[in-house]
Amino acid sequence: MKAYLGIDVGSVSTNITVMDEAGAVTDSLYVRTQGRPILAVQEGLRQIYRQNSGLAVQGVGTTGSGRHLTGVIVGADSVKNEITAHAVAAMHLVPDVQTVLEIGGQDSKIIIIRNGVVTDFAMNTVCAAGTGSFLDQQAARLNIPIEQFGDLALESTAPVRIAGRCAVFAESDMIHKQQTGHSIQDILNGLCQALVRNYLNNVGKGKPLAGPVLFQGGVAANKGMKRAFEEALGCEVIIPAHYSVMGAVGAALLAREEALSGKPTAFRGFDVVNSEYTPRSFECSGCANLCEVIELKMDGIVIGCWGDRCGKWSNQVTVA
Amino acid sequence: MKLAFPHMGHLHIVLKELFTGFGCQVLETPPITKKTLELGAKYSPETVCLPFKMTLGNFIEALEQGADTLVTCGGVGPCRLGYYSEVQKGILQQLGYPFKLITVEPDLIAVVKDLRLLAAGKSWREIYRSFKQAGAKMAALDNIERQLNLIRPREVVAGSADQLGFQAIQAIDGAAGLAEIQRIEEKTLAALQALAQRQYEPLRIGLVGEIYVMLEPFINQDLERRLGQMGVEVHKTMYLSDYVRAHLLRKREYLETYKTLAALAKPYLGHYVGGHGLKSVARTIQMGQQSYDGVIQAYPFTCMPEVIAKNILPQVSKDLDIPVLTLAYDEQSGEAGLMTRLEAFVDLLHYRRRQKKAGC
Repeated sequence: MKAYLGIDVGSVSTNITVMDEAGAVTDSLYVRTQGRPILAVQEGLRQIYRQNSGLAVQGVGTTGSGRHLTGVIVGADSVKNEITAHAVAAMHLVPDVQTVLEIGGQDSKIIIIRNGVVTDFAMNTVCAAGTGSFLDQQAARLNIPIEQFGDLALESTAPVRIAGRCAVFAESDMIHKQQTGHSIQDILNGLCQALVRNYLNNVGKGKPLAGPVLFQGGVAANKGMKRAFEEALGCEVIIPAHYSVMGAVGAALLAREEALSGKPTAFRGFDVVNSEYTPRSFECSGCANLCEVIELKMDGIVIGCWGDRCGKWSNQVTVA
Repeated sequence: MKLAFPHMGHLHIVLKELFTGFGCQVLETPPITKKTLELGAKYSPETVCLPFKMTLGNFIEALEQGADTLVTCGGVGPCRLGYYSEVQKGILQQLGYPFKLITVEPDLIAVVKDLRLLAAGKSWREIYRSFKQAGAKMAALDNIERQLNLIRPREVVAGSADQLGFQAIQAIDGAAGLAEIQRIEEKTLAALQALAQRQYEPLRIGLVGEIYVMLEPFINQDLERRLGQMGVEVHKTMYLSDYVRAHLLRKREYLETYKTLAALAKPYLGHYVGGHGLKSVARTIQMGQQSYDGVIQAYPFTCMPEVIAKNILPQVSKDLDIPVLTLAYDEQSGEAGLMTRLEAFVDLLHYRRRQKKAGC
């Protein structure tokens, strides 16, 4: 089967999707990055290869905070930021979408779309409260599997107001509410409402939020968050089928766009799962900038260098 | 006497020329590095803005090298900068450094008086010549930078424009005499123009915001160059020479420009709010009228005038149909976050342009 691969390497998860020529997602994968992006990508590709026989890869796209590193490793045709990738994926699945809410591991963003074009976007700037990592951490602290978080929040019967401005204060406020005897269900629901409030005030401030509204990113699995958004916005919030891997869906679509322009793919092939990648970083002492340079070797050969401002290192590499 | 001053873009080249001409011994403040920022942040109040932290770091490094006289600028609010020299003086004294601090207030008569003290024993003619020469270097550097912003998105060989720019800055730093400065400027501008260039219409983005963040590439994380490499023609709305001519020399044309800008901003912001807040609003309106593709506002986190502008800009953006991206910098700013925002913003502008083309 002729296919396009989309790889989204985020802080928490690494997602891979396989897309056919018509743009339908035929397979997807969600693995934890666990601070080792290269291993996560290799492991992900290995699984994809095992699950899908006879893939003829026509193009590969990468996105997420690890997009550049991954782009070099796999040989990507398109390396795009996650905002563009998420918007492209949202418009592909729901063509008349006007608002995209996306909450991932360490960042949250809002994308405003009008007539099929991104007209505005915002990302959380100085605060990570309300992102997946915080929910993860709180679920772990309460000894609740993150998968049950949403269902429990839906069982809430009485509202509890949690201070959601800051993750640290939210946590102490939650503990306070626990100690005074509120039920876990009510506290979890209160937390969802606080995070939604914080998100809309910070990221969504001053933006015209019109429907259809799509909610994607790992946190969209949390039913409590969905309900809290619906209550706050007063409209239905749609969770797309591939909500947790939308970045990868977008990356695959962008790779397809690139491939349709007639360029042959730069994909190094599934053999990359067996190659040995060794990145190293050093501080260049060539000038006062003291750039942190990263060098990536594939089976002992340097295939990429970045992080330098002047091009002294990055321009040396011709293989990539 | 060993004189030192903080860094801000290529300000040090200009000031070195000026003070050397006065007969002062200038100690070159070590270039800004991560260590400068660490030092500055360590001894600064947490919520003060980045220019304070950075210049404090500059002072500490200069004093460590043996400087005994520091020159900095004052101000008259509402921007907090006006009070910075006093606070920094106190911090440096507590750290035990012996030094003299000269604060140059934005008032030409006071400036001349301060500088007269530094240029003891020099005739007025010699002082005038130093000013002239420093001014020529400043203008040449700004003109080259302006040209770099135009050529960068068009260059065929990545980095070729910056290489010429880098050489020119060094040459101007070492140049003596007006004729030589002019020769280097003309040669560089011609060489930049002669570089192999692609023929296309790059995106045009205006850069507004606070002067220190706009002028110091270490702080703004090479904003102009990054945008240039992404194929964007950057129009910076303030260069060092603009500031000097408008705020110190109070040239008529600049006062006229300010009046025009104030009139433009009037429906959104009716009075001066300190710093460059009003200009950020006015310039955004202006660039919206001139059909720029977008505007980027850059400022140090907690900067009061720019925060006022930031909250007005969404309305301006909507009324004039021009996208605005706001970037607030502090010592925690990560590179990845900046790149993601810039890339996404550039994508957005490209999509808009394509749609506009298809529409007409």
